[in-house]
Amino acid sequence: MEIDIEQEKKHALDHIKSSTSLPVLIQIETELLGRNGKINLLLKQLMKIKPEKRKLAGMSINVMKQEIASLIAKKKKELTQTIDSEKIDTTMPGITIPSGTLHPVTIAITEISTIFSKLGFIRMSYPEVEWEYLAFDALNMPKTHPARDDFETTFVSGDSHPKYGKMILTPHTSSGQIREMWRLKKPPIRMINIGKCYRPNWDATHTPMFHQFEGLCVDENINITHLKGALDFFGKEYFGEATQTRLRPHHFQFTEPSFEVDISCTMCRGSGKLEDNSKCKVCKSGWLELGGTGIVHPNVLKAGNIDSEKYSGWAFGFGIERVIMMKYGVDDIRNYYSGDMRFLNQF
Amino acid sequence: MNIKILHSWLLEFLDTQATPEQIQRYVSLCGPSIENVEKIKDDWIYEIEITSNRIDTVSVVGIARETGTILNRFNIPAVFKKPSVVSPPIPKHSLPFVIQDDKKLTKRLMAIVMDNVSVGPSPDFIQKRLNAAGIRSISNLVDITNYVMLTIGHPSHVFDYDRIKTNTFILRNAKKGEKLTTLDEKTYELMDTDIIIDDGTGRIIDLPGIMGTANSVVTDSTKRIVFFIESNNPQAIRRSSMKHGIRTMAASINEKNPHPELVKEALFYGAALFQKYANATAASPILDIYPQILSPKKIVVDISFINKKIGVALEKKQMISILSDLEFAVSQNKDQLDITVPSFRYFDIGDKEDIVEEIARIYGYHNIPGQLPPLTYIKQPSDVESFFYHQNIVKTFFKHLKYHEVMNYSAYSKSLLDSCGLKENDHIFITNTISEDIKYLRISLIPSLLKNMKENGGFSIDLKLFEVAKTYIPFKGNLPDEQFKLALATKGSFLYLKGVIEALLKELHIEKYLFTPSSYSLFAKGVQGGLIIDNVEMGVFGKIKGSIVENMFLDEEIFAAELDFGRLIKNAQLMPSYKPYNPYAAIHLDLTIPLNQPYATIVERAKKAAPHLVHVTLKDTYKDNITLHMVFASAKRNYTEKEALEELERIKNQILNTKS
Repeated sequence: MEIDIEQEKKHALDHIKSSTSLPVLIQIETELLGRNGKINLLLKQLMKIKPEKRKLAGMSINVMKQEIASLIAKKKKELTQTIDSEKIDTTMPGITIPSGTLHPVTIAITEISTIFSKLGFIRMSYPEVEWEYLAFDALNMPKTHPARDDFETTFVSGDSHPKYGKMILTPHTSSGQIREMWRLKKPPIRMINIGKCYRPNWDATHTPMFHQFEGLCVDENINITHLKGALDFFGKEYFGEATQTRLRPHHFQFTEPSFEVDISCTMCRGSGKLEDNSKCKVCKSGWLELGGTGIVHPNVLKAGNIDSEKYSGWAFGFGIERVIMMKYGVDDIRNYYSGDMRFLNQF
Repeated sequence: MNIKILHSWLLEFLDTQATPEQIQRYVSLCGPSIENVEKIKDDWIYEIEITSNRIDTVSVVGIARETGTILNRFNIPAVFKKPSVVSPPIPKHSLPFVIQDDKKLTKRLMAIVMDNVSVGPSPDFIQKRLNAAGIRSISNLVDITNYVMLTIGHPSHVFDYDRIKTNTFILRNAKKGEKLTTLDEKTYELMDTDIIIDDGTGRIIDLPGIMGTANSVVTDSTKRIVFFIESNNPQAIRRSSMKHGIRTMAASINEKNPHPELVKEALFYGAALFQKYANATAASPILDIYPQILSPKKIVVDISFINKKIGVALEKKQMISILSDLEFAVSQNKDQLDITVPSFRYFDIGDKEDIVEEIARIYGYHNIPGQLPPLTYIKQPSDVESFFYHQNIVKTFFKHLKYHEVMNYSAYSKSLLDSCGLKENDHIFITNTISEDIKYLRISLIPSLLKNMKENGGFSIDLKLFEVAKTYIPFKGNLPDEQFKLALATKGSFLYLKGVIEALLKELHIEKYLFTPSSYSLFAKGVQGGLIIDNVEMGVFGKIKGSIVENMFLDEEIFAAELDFGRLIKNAQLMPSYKPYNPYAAIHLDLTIPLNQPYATIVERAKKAAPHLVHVTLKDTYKDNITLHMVFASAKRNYTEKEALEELERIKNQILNTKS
């Protein structure tokens, strides 16, 4: 047989010359010089050539191999330089990878429940449609309390319970306190209850539905120091290490003593003044109201079937929309539940 | 409620050198919250929040008492000066005057008739103080009643004696439909729960505790007055004031139950002002109807109890000093304190915990250290833990699938449920809703999502929404069944939505499920399906039916899904089930055949005809044909192309020779 080595060589060299990228060239290199490549294939075919022509053919193949190798080396260098010398406009926009959004309340709930889980608090969820008894009586709210009337509580059409009274939408997450006491039967209790709450208010700063997170800690010898410690921990974790927390006297039926918690303003860092010495517009003299808290009223423990002589506890209920506003400046609460994408698609 | 008082007025009852800034800072820490201090000329205005339990602090006197007690704890000298009040002189000749409250609609009534009044503007300081408080100065007679309210903390009222011809005041419930015109000339139709004053002829001359009436109010020509203060039933005041929308400061105070003892102080203080600033002379003895005098309240509390609740050991001496400054009478009894509550704190202080609060707040919450509650392990119920864990996963999953999370109100309107063909009777509804838009508690999330799609129509071309929220299914004789649902709404196609649901199932590693025809009322009959896991329907998805598209003026076809989220998550697994992979070579072949029977039947028949067919996917559809991508393999050895082609031929024949 005959081998047209010149033809083969021309074909191979053309192939190398026309390669435009390094991966293609490496592929060609394997095809030509690899273990099962063209050159080795030709060498194997030498045996079939007449002995007198074999030597010459062998030499030609070797020359061809060297030429190919040197051309590949040259071409490789060329193509490597091409890769390295490429220059693009980095200001061109990237190809859009579309993504959706989470609701800001979802983001905050994750943040808050993670913080309290570090203290061993478990997240629970309790009914939003509740009996008056659990939302009020059991929380030491007398029948005549104004918060129980038509103007502040949302009543629903379900039949009344012979013992627990009318059906309402929970105006706070505190009814979860009683449910958690009933569930565990005895302390220790460490609970975060996050849920939707309802009050008949609809204006620039109120929506008829909002979210609260309720903390409840009941154990032996729990006192004001433990409440201060836990709130300070939350303040620093959620709002940042520099955050200061303070308690002020307030009044809630379910707690005694009752406090309002303030944190140092995130805008003016508690000074009440902005950098240009003007008055901070966000806070009241350096402090922002976080919400209500206190030492659980013994009547509430009693309603939860817990020995109020032996055990004591603290509780708080804060608005989630409020802490989002304080931390991230997301204002106008009416946007939260409007379903308006101009607002929601930012998160 | 908030009140505004001038610094100079506070100093009338308080001797101190404290600056307004100091007063704001320290009083806010230990007592009422002073939300703002504003300088005006040579004075300052405090804006103070009064909590509903501390109605004793709604006055300048009440704030002075608190401020004095608190400043002393910060080493700033301050002395509270109680107002001195004396009974007006009893006249020789009395004008006739009768009050009747036979049904005991009020807890105490005091009044005095005064003669020879001269009507004119109030003195400057009264006008200034009232203006700062946000109350318009009208005349000395009216101003004095407001001034008494702000100084002492009890609302009061003045009548023109001569405009009440009968000289008779009868307290009674209104008759339903009776009319009354208040002094600001607004007319109200009364309810039988309203309490009014009748002059004995059926003519209504007052809405006591809330607002006076036009027909009995003092005028510029008033000569004789009745200065009148009653201690009202707080619930009745609240109900009438809210129902009629008459939210006066008097009503706000009276509904919070000031103590009847305060009536006397207010009447004496006011009578003295009428004498001084309106030249009035007493023309009747003091009338006082006080059927049930409340005896002083006593509380006994252990020192150790107080310290245990605060968490800091305070000295007995310190406790007594705090309580005495707040006008509690304290006597020591070994390790106990015997405490008598002052009348103005009667309704607010009820038990030992209230005493703890008084001592702790004046001692100063800022002086109490903080510590974390002792660490203890509480088991979170595993279904609750799994639910919250997977809820996060699912929400994040949808976010990455380009879905936007919305949260809608838990209730919708009659018109929305009508548009969706839902039945009003299947819903629980809010009986006192503030808006018809949020009356019916949702039994499905889809209507709200459709509304979102409609309302966002102009802003986003390819809108995909999801919501995780509860539905409220009525449950006879109990609270409704609150079920967490996951709802989706999207444009696109049925198969796109089905693909999303399949991807969700994969994300949750739910491997065994079925899709079956369904009959959900919100979807078009022929374009919907149900997701079945373990023989239970977990949810439905489909194309929104034509009547809803028409009713809601939707401009495009919308596909929606609603899954039972709680039950779905019960089937979720953290890891998919593991199978060892097949190490032998597999053969991949494509087959194009007509779609002459349901897809699932084709796949089922193909698998039956070819035992080594391990995997089938739909590669393409063109007109009535489908191209299937098939993988053939053996678990024991490398499978050959020849064997695979033989099986492919069998499949082809099987499909072509059958129909559904």
